[in-house]
Order: sequence, then structure tokens, then C-alpha cells
Amino acid sequence: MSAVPLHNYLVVGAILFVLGVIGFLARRNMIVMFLSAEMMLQGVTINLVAFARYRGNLQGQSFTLFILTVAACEAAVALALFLMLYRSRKSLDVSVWQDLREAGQPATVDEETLPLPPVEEPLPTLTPAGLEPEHRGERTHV
Amino acid sequence: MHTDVMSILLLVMLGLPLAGGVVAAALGAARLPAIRWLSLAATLVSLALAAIVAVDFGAHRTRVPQGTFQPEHVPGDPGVMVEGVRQPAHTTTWDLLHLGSASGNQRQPAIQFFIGIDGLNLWLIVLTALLLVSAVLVSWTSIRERGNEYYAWLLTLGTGMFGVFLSFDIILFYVFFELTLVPLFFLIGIWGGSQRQHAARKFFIYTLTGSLITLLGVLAVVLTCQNRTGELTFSIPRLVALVQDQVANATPEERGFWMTFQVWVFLALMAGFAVKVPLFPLHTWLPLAHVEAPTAGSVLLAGVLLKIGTYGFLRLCLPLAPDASLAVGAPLVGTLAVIGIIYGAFCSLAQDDIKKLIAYSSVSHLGFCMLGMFALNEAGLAGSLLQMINHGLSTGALFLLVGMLYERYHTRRMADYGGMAARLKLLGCFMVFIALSSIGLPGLNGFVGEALIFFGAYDFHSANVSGPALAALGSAGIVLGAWYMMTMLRRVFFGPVKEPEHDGHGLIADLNFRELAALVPIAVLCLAIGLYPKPLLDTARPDLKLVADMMSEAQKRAQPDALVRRVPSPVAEERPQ
Amino acid sequence: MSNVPAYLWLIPFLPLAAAALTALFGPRVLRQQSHWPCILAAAGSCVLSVFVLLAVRDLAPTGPADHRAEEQYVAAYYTWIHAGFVDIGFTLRADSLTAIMLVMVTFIGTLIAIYSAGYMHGEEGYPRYFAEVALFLFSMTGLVLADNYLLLYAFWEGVGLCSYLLIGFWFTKPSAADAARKAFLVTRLGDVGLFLGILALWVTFGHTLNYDDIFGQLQRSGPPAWLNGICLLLFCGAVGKSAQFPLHVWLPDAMEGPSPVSALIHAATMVTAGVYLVARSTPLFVQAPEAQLVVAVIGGFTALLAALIALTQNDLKRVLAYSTISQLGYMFLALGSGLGSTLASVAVVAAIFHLFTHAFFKALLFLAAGSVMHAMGNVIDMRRFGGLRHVLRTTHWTFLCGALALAGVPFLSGFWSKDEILATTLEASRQAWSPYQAIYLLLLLSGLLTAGLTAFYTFRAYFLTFWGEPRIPEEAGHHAHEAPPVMTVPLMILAVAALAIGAVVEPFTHWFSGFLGRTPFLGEVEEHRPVVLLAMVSGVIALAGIAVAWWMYVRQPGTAAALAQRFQGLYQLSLNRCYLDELYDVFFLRPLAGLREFCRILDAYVVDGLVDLVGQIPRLFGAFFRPMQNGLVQFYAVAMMLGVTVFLVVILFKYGW
Repeated sequence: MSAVPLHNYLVVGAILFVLGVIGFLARRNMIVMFLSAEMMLQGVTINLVAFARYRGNLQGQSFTLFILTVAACEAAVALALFLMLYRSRKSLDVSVWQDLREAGQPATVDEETLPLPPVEEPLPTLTPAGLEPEHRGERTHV
Repeated sequence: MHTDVMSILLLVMLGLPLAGGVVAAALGAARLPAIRWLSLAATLVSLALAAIVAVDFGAHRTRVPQGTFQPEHVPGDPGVMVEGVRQPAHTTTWDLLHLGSASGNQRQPAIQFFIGIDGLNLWLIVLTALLLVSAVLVSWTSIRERGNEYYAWLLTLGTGMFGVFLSFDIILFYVFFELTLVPLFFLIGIWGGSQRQHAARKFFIYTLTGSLITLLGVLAVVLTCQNRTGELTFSIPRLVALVQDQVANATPEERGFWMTFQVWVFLALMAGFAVKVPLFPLHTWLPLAHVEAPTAGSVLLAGVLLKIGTYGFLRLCLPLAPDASLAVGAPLVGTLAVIGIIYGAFCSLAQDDIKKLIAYSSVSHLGFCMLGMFALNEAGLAGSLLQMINHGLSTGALFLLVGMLYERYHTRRMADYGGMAARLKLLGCFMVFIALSSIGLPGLNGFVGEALIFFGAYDFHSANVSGPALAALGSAGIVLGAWYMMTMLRRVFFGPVKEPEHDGHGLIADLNFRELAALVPIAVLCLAIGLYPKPLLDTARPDLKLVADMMSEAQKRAQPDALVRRVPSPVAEERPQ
Repeated sequence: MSNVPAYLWLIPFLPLAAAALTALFGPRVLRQQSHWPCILAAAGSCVLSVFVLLAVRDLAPTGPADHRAEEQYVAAYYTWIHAGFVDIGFTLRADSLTAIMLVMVTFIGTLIAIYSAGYMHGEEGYPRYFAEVALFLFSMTGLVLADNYLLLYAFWEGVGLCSYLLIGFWFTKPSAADAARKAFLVTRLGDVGLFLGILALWVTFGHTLNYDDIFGQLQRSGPPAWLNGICLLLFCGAVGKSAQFPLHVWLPDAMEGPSPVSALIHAATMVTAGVYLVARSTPLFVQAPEAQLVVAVIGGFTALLAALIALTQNDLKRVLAYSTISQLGYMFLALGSGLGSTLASVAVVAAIFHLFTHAFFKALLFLAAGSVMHAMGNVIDMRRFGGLRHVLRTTHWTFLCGALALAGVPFLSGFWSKDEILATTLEASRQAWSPYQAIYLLLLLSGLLTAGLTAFYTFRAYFLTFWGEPRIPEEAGHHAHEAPPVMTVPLMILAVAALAIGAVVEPFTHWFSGFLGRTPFLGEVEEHRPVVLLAMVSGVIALAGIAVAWWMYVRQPGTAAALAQRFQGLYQLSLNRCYLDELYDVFFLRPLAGLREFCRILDAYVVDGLVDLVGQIPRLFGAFFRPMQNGLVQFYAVAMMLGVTVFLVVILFKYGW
């Protein structure tokens, strides 16, 4: 078996993890942050798998499976939460949400504001197919 | 298994209030009348049990404790065979929490459910039971909101207080010690006066801070004993025996260690107890808590909870740190006590709020108590113990009376009152009577305690503090005490009749049967103890002598050269009978 | 009758039972009949006291003079307080001194209880009054019966309590309520000294407080170092209770109580407790000449001061109150003059003799004053009535008897006893070994001066009240007539006693001194040698005082006012009681009130403030760390990363790469 040394795997895992950390700390878009967090997880996962291979047992593998499962659940929950958050403040900027700070502390405000996002062109809409039925003015059960 | 019926009664007495409290809470606020009767029944049964135990103890106690405390009627006493007769072993087999493993023929070390009765706690338990009944009676009509919770907390407090006095396991003691805080916190915080939340919080945090330091002291004693003797035990009698043994047989090199150790242990234990007593600079939570607490809370706070502090000194501080009690305790606590006596009296004089006046008078009276205790001789200790009971009775009754007055007129300002003795004759009579008991009029209980305290203090001599000087300064409290009490009587009960505004539904009635039932037993006891304190002093004597002997041993160790034991001269022996 | 211990306890306990009975059943059942238990109990105690007196008299004087402890009955009933070395029994004793005090207290008590039934008739607190009087009799008899100092102290406080309750009998009256409080507090100030003295005795004499043990030990081993101090502490108690300078200020105010109370407690019995205490402790005082000097000086000075104040008082009862203070001063003068054991027994006889006669005539005067007050609708200001000798005939002549006895007119009670006191002081000034001879001589002169003043102010009061133009205040209404027999009969009995009892018991028969001299540990009383010259001088002085009073208030009624105008300063000084109350207010009460306020502020802002300050410390830390909790997820994440990094670095550096 062509032996790729263990530390190669570890380096890859570390790089992935650090990229994730940097992404998590530097980006303010919640979805991107989430993805970065996933990336950290993957870095750890690679570590686990590499060590499992190296030690010749399956413990690391099984942990990895757990992590994947949990990450999937997380993704589902997190994306749902993001959706709710976006709906209430119309933004995915994480710094909009600082309500859990200590009572009486002033809010942290950016010194220079980000440029406003470009106004998106409304998507072209197609004319609906079919004809609207005639309203008879009678009560219907909705 | 050596169990006797008295130990079962003790268990029932301890558990009954808690059980009553749980049932009261479960019954719901709507069934308040049923809850009242239930609470009254529970406390009355406790009182009856306490009385039975006390009478039995007074009549049948034959063994004198040797070397360490020997509680009687311990539930779960394994018993020992002495000459073919099964005798109580004054220990228990009821373990709560095992720690470590058994070694050799020693039992597995454990925190135990170790309760029992001896001369030091017997009368405090009777006092607690009596004041609990009065507390229930005085709350009868004054508490209308959330009644089920109120009585639940009140009864839980009862179990906590019984537990502190009954415990002979140091951790159990500490648990009950803290358990008394919680119910009172809620009693003050929910049913108190206008500043109740502030008062409750201050009371809770202040006393908790102190008692956490006490916990450190407790652990230090336990661990050091394990370190030095290899025996891990939480039993107070065993710890006392170990410490006494170690201290007495210490080599000269070890002596320094034990002295330092004792000083720290003494200071640590003192921290919690001194706040609870309260000793002079640590008393400021007391007036606030008293003023804001509902009447029953004030009664129990003054009557029983303060005694937990003094009892802690007596049960733990003195026996576990005898040398430090002599070297550090007597000068430090003695001085603070005397300052407290005078300072408390002056503060009391300056108050316009009756409850505050009585609260500061507690500071003064507890100063007497501590002065007697740190005379470290039998007379002083006996006076101190008696003063605990006396203060519980008289100050408890004073708070009851003020509560009754408050229930009628809804004000505690003395300036609002005048000539109440003409308006409320019975209440006035009781007030004068109890005030006289409180200022130590001979024939009533206060005098016996105070006299013994002063005899003890005057007889105390050590290298760094002069007993007669302390006694002389403390005696100022006799006049000052009379001054503030008489001033209170003069302003509230004598002089031209001046009634505060009241709700105006009809005339304000004098004491009714329920209120009399709460007061009369206390008043009778005040008189009985004043005229015939022998039963109390006799039952407590062996245990007090035990503690006093530990102290005189310490004195011998401190001054091996000046080993002049003061004995009564032959003249006293041959007095005509 | 011979088995004294069997009934000795009944003497105090009969009144106690009466008190309990009246207190429990008075308001509901007995009501206006509430005087019966008290009167019956007092009379019963009186009979028993006479039995005791006879039994004690029958004891044969055996053994050497210095150790005659068997000449008394000691009855130990039960152990009161026993803890450690403290062992105090409830033990009563009957010896000569006790027996005389007992008879006097119970006899006068009975008469006053009877008088009160008329005087207090119709009062709202009628049962309360008699319960308290009975309680007082219990305490007072207990006080003289006690066999050890602590029991004495207990009853001592007990009489103080009854005094407090009875002065404040009309407690809705502010002046009465204030006077009650003042009386209690001022006497308690002295009591603290007494208590400390008892503690010192206990420690000094090997943990015992029994009279016999202490005195016996003292005789065997001589005076301990602190005896003077101990005696002075004991004397503090006497100063408070017997209203001596500087603690005399409570007694004049105590006249707010009902007149029979003033007669019983504040003239005849309770205020003499201090004299009894010092007389009882004579074996101690004899060994402490400096303490004796203090006793004599305070006594003599008080006698003079009070007499001077009494000169100008307008309130009849206050005149009598100051007169009481003055006469008590005489008694202490006598006790303080007992230098050396022979003279000490003479001194004790003189003091107790004066106490005995004084009790009769002063009780009589107060009761007569009460009768005046009763008739005048509670007006007691002498400026508002006068010429009452025709309106109140019995009261008039009984008052006159008392006044003559008090003034020391020759051959009446007061004359004999006062003469003995002056003779004792004279004797003390002749003791060549004493370094204080001159002081005693001075005290003798002041005593003589006081005698003259006494005669003057007594008769000033008498003439103002009973002579001159008949004037009756409008408050009197239809009451302005003689009191009913229930009040006048006790007056008559006392009047006879005031005139004759002094002559009967002592100067010719020497019965009193012989009897009293058999008190254990009191030296044999040597035969009394009357100093005829001194007696003549004091008699003349007394008569002169009366004559001056007659001149100033009957013959030339304007003289007094003119003199007052002339010596305005002195007059005001005397009228305002030497401004002592004001001085105490400024130098004692105000500073204490200041201290009180200081403590209050100290407690609220400094002691409690420090506690709150400690409570602020966690909050201070909180303020430092609070900005870190800014709610930004990424800030937290950075902190976490940094934390992990720090840990990693530490681990790496510690355990190597």
C-alpha cells in the first residue's frame, strides 16, 4: 500500500480547520459563517479518519459518521433559523443580532458602513396560465 | 440496635413540621382555614414531644458525659454491651453519604444522620417548639395572601431550626444551618413590609457569606483531624474528642501548629456565627430584617435564629478551638460583646420604630450572651445558655406584642402612640411584664441569666483581658437597657391616650383568646425560670461543666506556671443548710 | 411561735398571695372590695413579724461577742441559682435588725393599706393599686429577710419596680409617667454600683454571698485590699435607693404618685432600704474608714442641701419629700460616723432608731398631707389654701404631732433619735486616732444647722397650710371636709406613735439598743451616755426654728416675701432645687442624647455603609468585565480562539514540542 504519511492528512485537516476559523471570524454573512463552521468540522473529521486508518481501528470512522449525521441535522436546523432571522430583520448580517449583550451596554456599531447591496432587478415574471374564474359574489368556503 | 422510644419522638418532632409544610403547600391557598389548623396541630404536637423529651431527660439522665459530648436518644444507636447490659453508644449507624472505604475495624467513614439530645440543646429545642406555636398563632389573621406557601415556609423553617440544634454531625449541622436561611428569605421577601426585598436579600447574602467561611472552618477541622490521626469523621463528639486529645498530648513542636490551626479555625467558624449572633460590627442586617419581616418571622428570627449563632459558638468554636478561644476569643469576642451591649443600647434609644428598638435591644442582649460565654467558666457558660433561652422568650414575646399592636393600628412609629395601657389594658400589662423580663428584673428570667453572666465574667482572668473590667463596662447595659425599655413604655403605653388612625371599623379590641394563648405560656415561663431556674441549670450542668473543663485545661496549658485553680474557700462549704 | 423557720416565709408570701389574688380576680370579682386581700395579708404579716420579734428576743445571748451567728433564725428554702461556683439559695433569716425592720414595715404597711381603702375609693385602677401595694410589701419584707446579698439585690429591684408602678399609678398623666421612669432609672444607676459591689464581694470572699460567711471571713482574715472600693460600690446602691445626693433627684418627682404610696414607699420603707443595706454591711464598713467618711459626708451634705431646698418649696408634698431626703441624710451621717467597732454599733443603733421613728412621723405627715389633698380636690400647692385647722380638725392635730416630732421638739420621737445621731457624730469627731476628726466636727455643725432648718421648714408648711385666712381652692368642691374614719383612724394611731414611740423604746429603757446590739457581727452596744449639752443645744435650735417660722408666717406674714425679695439669688437657688435637674440635663442627659444620635448615625451610615461598600465590590468587578459581554458572536469566537491558543501555547511550552 502506497503509504501517504499521517502528517500529510493532518496538514490537510489543519488547513481546512484554520480556513474554517478564518472564515468564521472574518465573514459576517450567517450562511457563510455556517459553511465555515462546517469546514472546521471537516478538518476534524479528516483528522479522525486519518488516525483511524493509522491505528487500524474503526473508532475514528464511526465518530466521523456521527459528525456527519449531526452536521446534517445542524444544517437543517440552522438554515431554518437563518430563514426566520432573515424574515424578521431582512438581513443576514450577524452583527444585526447583538440583543444578548449585557443590559445597559451600548450596541456595537460599525465605524464605516458597508456599501448598500445593489438593488436587484425584479425577476421576470411570466403571465399566469389559464383564466381566473368569475367571481359570483357568493360566500365560499375557504 | 439500641433504639428507645424517645429517639423516635425526636425523629417525629424533627420531621413533623416539614411534613405539615408539604401538606400545607399541597392543599392550595383556597383552603387557608384548614391549613391554619393543620399548622397549629403540627406545631402543637412538636411542642408536646419536646416537652415530653425534656421532662424525660431531666428525670432520667444518669450518665455524665466524659471527655466529649454524649448525646442521648440517638436514632440508630448501635449500643454497646457493658457488663452484660446493653448501653447506648451515643453514636449512630445511619449513614447518609459514604466517603472512602472501611479500614480495619473502623466503620466506613460517612456523613451521618446523627441527631440527639444533651443538656446544651434540650431547652433550645423546647424554646423553638414553643415559639413555633406562637408564630403560627400570631399569623392566624394577619396572613391572608398565599397562605399555603406562608405556612409551608414557616413549618419548613421549624424543621430547619430543630435540625440545627439536634445535629451531632458537623455536615448535617451545616446543612440545617443553611436550611434555615431559605424559608426566612421567602418569609421576609414575600410577606414583609415595604422594603422587604432589600431586607431579604441583605439578610440572605450577609449570613450566607459568613457561613461559607464557617464551612471552610468545618472542612479544615475534619481534614486536619484526618491528616493527623488518620480517622475521617464528621461526628461532632468524635471530632471534639480527637482535637482535645491531640491538643492535650501535643509535643512542643506540634503545639505551635495546633495553636495556629486553632486560631484560624476559630476565626473561620466565628465568621458565620458572629454574623448570626450578631456581634457588634456585623449586626446591621438585623434591624432591617426585623423591621421588614412579618411578625412570625421576627419572632423566630429573634427568638431562635440568633441563638443558632451563639449555640454554634458553644457547640463548635469552644470545644474545637479551646486554646484559641482563650487566647483570641476571650479578648476579641469579649470586647466586641461589651461594645455591642453599649452600642446596641444607644442605637436602641435613638429609634422611633418600635420593632427597630427591639431589634437593637437584641444586639445588646446577645452581647450579654457572648460576654458570658467567653468568660469561659461554668457560671458564665450557664448564664449564657440561660440568656439564650431568656432572650428567646422575652424578645420573642416583645415582637409578638408589637405585631399585635401593629395588626390593630398599622403603624410602628412610637410617636403615633400614647397611653395605650389605658386603651388596651391586657396588652399593656403583658408589655410591661415582658419589658421587665427583658431588662432583667429579679424574679423574672432575665435576671438569672444576666447575674450568672456577670458572676462568670467577673471571675474570669487571663493574660490578655480583664474579666472585671469587661463586667464593669457591660454593667452599663443594665441601666441603658432599662432606659430604652422604659422610654418605649413611656411613649407608647403611658402618657395621655393618643390613638393612631385606624380603619375605623368599630373599637379596637383588647387581646383575644388566640393572642393570649400565644403569650401566656411565654409569660409563665418567664416567671418560672426567674423564680426556679434549677431544672434548666441542672440538666445543662454536666455538659456545661464538660465545656468549662476543656477551657480550664486550655488555661492550664496557657499558663502552666500560674496554676492556681480558684476553689471556693472552706467557708462556703460549711455554710448552714 | 418558737419554730420561726416554719412560718418565716409566710411574712413575704402572704402579701405576694394577696397581690396575685388581687391581680387575677380584682378587676372582675373583687372590684371595690380589692383592698381586703392586701389589708389582711399585711395584718397577718404584721402579726407574724411580732412573733418573730418576740422569738428573736428570747434567744439567749450565748458565745463570745464576736461570733454569735446562732442568734438568728436562718431558713434555707431552696437553691435559687446554682452554676459553677455560684450557689445562691432562697434563704431567709431573722435576726434583731431584720425583726425591727419587719415590724416597722408591716405595721405601717397595714395602716397605710387601711388608709388607702378610703383614699383611693372609687379610683378606676383600685384593684391594680392594691395588687401593687401588696407586691411592694412582699418585696420589702423579702429585702429585709434576705440572707445573702444577691437575694437582697433581687428584692431591692423588686421594691424599685413597685415604686415605679405606683408612682406611675395615674399613668395617663404625663408628669406621673415621667416621674416613674425617672425614679426607676435613677435608682437603677445606683443599683449597678450595688451589683458590681456584690460581684466584687463574691470574688473577694471566696465565692459566697452569705452575710455570715462574709462577715466571719472578714473577722478572721482582716480587710482585703479593695474593701474601700467594695464598700463605696455598695453605698452607690444606697445612694440611689435612699435618694442621697447626687441621685436624690427622683424622690421629689415621685410625689406624683398617690399620697399613701408616698407615705409607704417614699418616706417610711423603701427609701430606708439603703440605710438598712449600709447598717447590714456595718462589719464591712467598719474596716473601711475612708468609705465611712464618704458615707458621712454624703449623708451630712444631703441633709443640709435638702433642708435648704425644702425651705422655699410651695408644694406641701415636695416639702415633705425634701424633708425625707434630709432625714435619710441624717441616718447616713450616723452610719458614716461609726468609726471602730464599738462606735459602729452605737451608730447603727442611732441610724436604725432614727429610721424607726422617722418611719412613723413621716408616714403620718404624708398621710395627713394626703388627707389635705383629698379634701382640697387634689390641690397640693400651699399658696392656694390656708387656715385649714378648723376645716380639717383631725388632720390638723395629727399633722401637728408629726411636725413636732420631725422638728425634734424635746421629748418627742424625733428628738431622741436625732440626738443619738448627733451624739454619734460628736463621738466620731473625738476619736483621736482618726485622721478625719475635723471633718466629723464640721459634719456635726452642719447637722445642728440642719436641725434648725428642719424645724423651720416643717412649721412653715404647717403654718401655711393650717393657719392664716381660711382659703379653699374651687377644685375642692364639696370635698372640703374631714376624711372618713377609715382614713383618720390610721392617722391617729400614727400620731400617738410619732409622739411616744421614741421615748418608749430607747432613752429610758434602752430596749432598742439592747435588742439591736444582738444582731450577729455587730459589736456589743455600750450603755448610752446621753450628751446632755448636745441634747439641750439641739432642742433649743429646734424650738428656735419653730419660733422663727411662727414669726414669719403667722405673726408677720409679709416677712417671708420681703426676705425672698432681699435675697433674690439665694431664694431662686433654693426654689429651683439648686438647678440640679437642669445641671443634670445639660451635663448628663444632653451628652447622652448626643451620643445616642451619634450612634444612630454611625450605625446607619458608617457601620452599615461599610457593609454596603463591601457589597459593592463584586459590582465593581462586574463593571470591569461587563463590556466584554457585547452580544457579538464573532467577538466571543475570537475570545474562544485566543483562549484555546493560550492553552495550547502553554501546554506546548510546558511539555515540549
